[in-house]
Amino acid sequence: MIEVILRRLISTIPVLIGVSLITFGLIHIIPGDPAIVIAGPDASVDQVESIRQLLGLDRPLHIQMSVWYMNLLQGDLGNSFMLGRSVLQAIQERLPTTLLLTAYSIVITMPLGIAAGLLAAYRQNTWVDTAVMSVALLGVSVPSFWLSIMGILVFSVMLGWLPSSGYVPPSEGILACLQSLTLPAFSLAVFQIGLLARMTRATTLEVLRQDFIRTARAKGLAEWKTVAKHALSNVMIPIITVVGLLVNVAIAGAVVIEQIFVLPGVGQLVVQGILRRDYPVIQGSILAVALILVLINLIVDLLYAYLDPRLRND
Amino acid sequence: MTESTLQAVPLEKPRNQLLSRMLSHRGLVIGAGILVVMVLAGIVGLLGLAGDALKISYQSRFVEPSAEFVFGTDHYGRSIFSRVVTGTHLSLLIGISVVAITAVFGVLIGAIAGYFPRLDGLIMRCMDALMAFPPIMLAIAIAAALGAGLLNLIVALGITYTPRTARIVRAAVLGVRNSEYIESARLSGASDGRIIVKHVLPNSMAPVIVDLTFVFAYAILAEAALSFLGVGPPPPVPTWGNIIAEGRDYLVDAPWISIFPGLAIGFSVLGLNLLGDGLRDVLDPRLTSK
Amino acid sequence: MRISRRDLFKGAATMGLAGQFSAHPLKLFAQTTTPTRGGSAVVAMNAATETIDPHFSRSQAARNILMHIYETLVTIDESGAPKLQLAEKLDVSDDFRVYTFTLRQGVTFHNGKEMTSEDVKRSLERYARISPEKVRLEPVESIDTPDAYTVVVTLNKSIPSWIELIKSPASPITIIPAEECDKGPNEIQPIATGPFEFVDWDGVTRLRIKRYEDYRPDETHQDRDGYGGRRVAYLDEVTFTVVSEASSRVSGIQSGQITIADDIPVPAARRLESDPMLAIYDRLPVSINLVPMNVQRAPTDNVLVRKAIQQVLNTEEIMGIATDGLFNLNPSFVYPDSEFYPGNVDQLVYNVSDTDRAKALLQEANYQGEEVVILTSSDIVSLQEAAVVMSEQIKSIGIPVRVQVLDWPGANAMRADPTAYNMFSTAYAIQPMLGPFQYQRLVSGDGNWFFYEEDNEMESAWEELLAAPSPEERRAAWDKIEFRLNDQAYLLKLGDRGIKQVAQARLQNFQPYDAIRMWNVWIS
Repeated sequence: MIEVILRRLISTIPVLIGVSLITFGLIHIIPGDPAIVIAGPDASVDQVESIRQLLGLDRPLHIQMSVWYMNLLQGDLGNSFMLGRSVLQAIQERLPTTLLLTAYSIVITMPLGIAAGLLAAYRQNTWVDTAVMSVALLGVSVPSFWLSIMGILVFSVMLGWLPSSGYVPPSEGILACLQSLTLPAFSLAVFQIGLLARMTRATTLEVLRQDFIRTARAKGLAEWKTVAKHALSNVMIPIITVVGLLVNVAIAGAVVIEQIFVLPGVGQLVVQGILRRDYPVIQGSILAVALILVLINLIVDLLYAYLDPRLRND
Repeated sequence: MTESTLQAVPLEKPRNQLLSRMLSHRGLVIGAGILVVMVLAGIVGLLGLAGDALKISYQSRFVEPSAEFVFGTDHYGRSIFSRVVTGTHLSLLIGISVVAITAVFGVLIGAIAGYFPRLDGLIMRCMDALMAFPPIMLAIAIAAALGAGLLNLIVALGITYTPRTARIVRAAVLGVRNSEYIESARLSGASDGRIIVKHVLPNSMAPVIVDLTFVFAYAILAEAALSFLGVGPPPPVPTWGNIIAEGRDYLVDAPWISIFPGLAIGFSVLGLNLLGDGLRDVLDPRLTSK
Repeated sequence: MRISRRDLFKGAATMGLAGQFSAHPLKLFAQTTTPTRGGSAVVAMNAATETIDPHFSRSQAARNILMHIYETLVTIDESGAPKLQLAEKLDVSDDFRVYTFTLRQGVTFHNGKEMTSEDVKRSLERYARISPEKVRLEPVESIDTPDAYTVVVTLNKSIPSWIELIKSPASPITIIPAEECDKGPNEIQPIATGPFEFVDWDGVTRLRIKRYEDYRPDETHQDRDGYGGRRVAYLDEVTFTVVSEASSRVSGIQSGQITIADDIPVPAARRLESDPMLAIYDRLPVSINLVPMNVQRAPTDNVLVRKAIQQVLNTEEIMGIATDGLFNLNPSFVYPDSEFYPGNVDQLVYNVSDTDRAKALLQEANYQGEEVVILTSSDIVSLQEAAVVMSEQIKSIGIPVRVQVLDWPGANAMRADPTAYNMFSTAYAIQPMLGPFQYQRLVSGDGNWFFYEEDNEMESAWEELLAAPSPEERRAAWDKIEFRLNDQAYLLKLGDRGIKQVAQARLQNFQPYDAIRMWNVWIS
């Protein structure tokens, strides 16, 4: 098993190199550079050029790139052009917000999504099934950013229950922190709940059709016991995959949600980085997010292989 | 594994049987119906029958939904109804184009990776690298690099969704590659290209078709999100995302600006999801248990 | 042609506005309370500052924050005229070459150290090394410090208007401790002499400052005046937060989370007027909307096509939509209260909206149907809105128009490329307040924004302006520049834009200005 893990870990390295190469290519195609941002709109060509020299942007691209990779090998992601801190520090400051938001939304999603999916599967082809699945379908059909601005309209403007923006770090009070993340987390969770409910239902139905369930039913076990004992334990395997998927979905969704609610997370770091052409920040934070996603997918794959012996030799 | 045989079944069925199964699937019919409504609205918008989506009128700014302006007007005094209806053909155009790009490249890349084990590793690592980006981030970066515009948005979303489809195609191809059926084609001397086109792809198409309907839906959602972030087609182009973004400053005072395009997105994506679910039930009966 | 504040109350959506700032009458009355120390305030801005290094800063968002912490030798007063701040006296030699600053004594930095001439000298040197505006100090030949409170700046040539250049709070020439001055851009500790000191910054969303207890106010004044005068920090702490969604700023101010919010949409501000807990302020003008025309690329290489576009524009409609009705019509590039405001301003071609005349000009120009590209930025919504309305108006005379939208850095990169676009929808925020000298780089010389290769009339007018010893001659020279810009349709003026600021009525003595000033204000 350890050998498998090691092999898989090593195989992520080329993926991450690929990510950083793509990022490097992309950010240097983007028109405008940090010197233009800093120099301001009415700067002369000379002014921009002198800032470019100051930031080391006048060096050839391959030099900039190799400097970056050399620093990376020493665990240094460089310094932000604008934030007055290292990229690593910026990521360390932002990551907890994004992870907290993601975790919060998944904590909301898991019980609701699984319960809805099981209920629908268990009551397959009844009105309950139809109703639950219709709601789930609506959940995956409405854009989350639209839901969040509607959420602001209803819950903070009209009802005044929740703050419309701003982030309270956990160090300033867990409750206030959760409150500041509630609207964003629910905006994210609606899509995920729909997704999870649909997947849970489909998986459960597949499992329910399998022979051992039929046998159990034939033995006359009470129906709920059947579901609970046999189906659920088998359903848990694919659900682990789903959690991995949910983390992916949540982190992607967080990019937009963090913008709307002005949460100091990694998604906002990337978007602001792009808007200000803060190259080291874009480069470093996309790599960090990619690393997280790759690791999560890796863990999911390994868990999956561990739980499902059929795949262990794959 | 019996996956391959199950997948191979549907397209070999008599056509009318497939059609009747489709017609008897309620969700699929509703979904197809919504798609038809979208297409009709798209045509109406394209022909300009829903009014001028760009006509500015200082006098009729912020008009509430009324007889004259069914969905009200925005802060330019433009009719939201005209804009939403006109936006439909843009959403369709974006969705169909992204699906086309994804289908062509996804199938090509996936088939090559699945059929030629020697290329598999390299190709799929590249796909993994693209998939390691959160989809929205990749699209933002590409859209920023290429500049805001309809075509660039389509390219950005196409690149973003291709790896996903390629993975599905590869998995499906792997599933059928070693089946007896393909083996016999190979023994009878058919070339690789011919085997892929004639035998492998048709038998692995069901999951791809299903997936592409969802790509269509994702493309519409992603366009809206990107336009909202300001990297979509430039104004005054009335994409649904742009209309929502233009109303964001007036959420309380003129909520109709953002509500109607939001509903249009929800309705369309709902239709596409219903269609996708239905097609999966009909074409890929593993998950159907009626 | 008719100018000025025409009937702005016309039209269903035009919002109430009047004067420089207006507040609820009751609240004006409430503002006579005596100042109280204490309390904290939250300022909601629509954009983040790009830096906390003042020498390296440029933006309005940066000024909103940094002007609380930092101070300069010369700053500006309420109307934008130069005003001494850290210097108590300035002697200028007759040949306008030697500027002798006498520093105020007893001014300490936030680290407790007293500010001396050495700090000033080193700060100016750092500025000259790293600032995007280092061109302001380019003519400096030497900086001498005969004693701890005297700084002598000698220029290499006579520049009567040098103070006009160094007064600008955009990239302010702030004085920081000498030991910080060897550091590169963005590497300094934010230590200075202002009434507030820096606490922390998360890089984008939140920056906090607190009162600097040992601040030495300028006792020669009774009250604040622009960025200068007698500055007093009554508040214990101020938090600047970025709230990019306008709806969130509105709900934040309603719920009391926010003490003062910048840039509130006009319809929302009008709704909030009935709330007795809130005070609404008009910051008008906050900036001017203008459109440089590219004379290199067809069809705007033809002056007749440029004039046709100038003729068809209905700036009242453009500004009305781009500002939600909060604007002044003004053909000039300076504000009406400026000494440089042209006397015969109504002779400038402006807000004509004459389709027939425009079409005739196009015919005369032998216009071939080339596309006009309007470049603008998505980051500043009003610029984009102005571009959209302009494009519809220009289309009405048969010119195909494409609006090219990029984010701010992208648009500014493309701005420098004469082959890429025809018109640039942009804005100037502080320049019209600071006066004509700010325009030199934009409208003349090699780097002019219209890409003309030669225009002797323009260049000689600038030489006159820079060399003119008397105010009358300077005004006459600026007149020539304004009329040349208008006659060649190089630079189209759209109008003066305003924004709404909304504060809790508890916030006393607030008055809109270039930046949001949280000094000399208190919570009742």
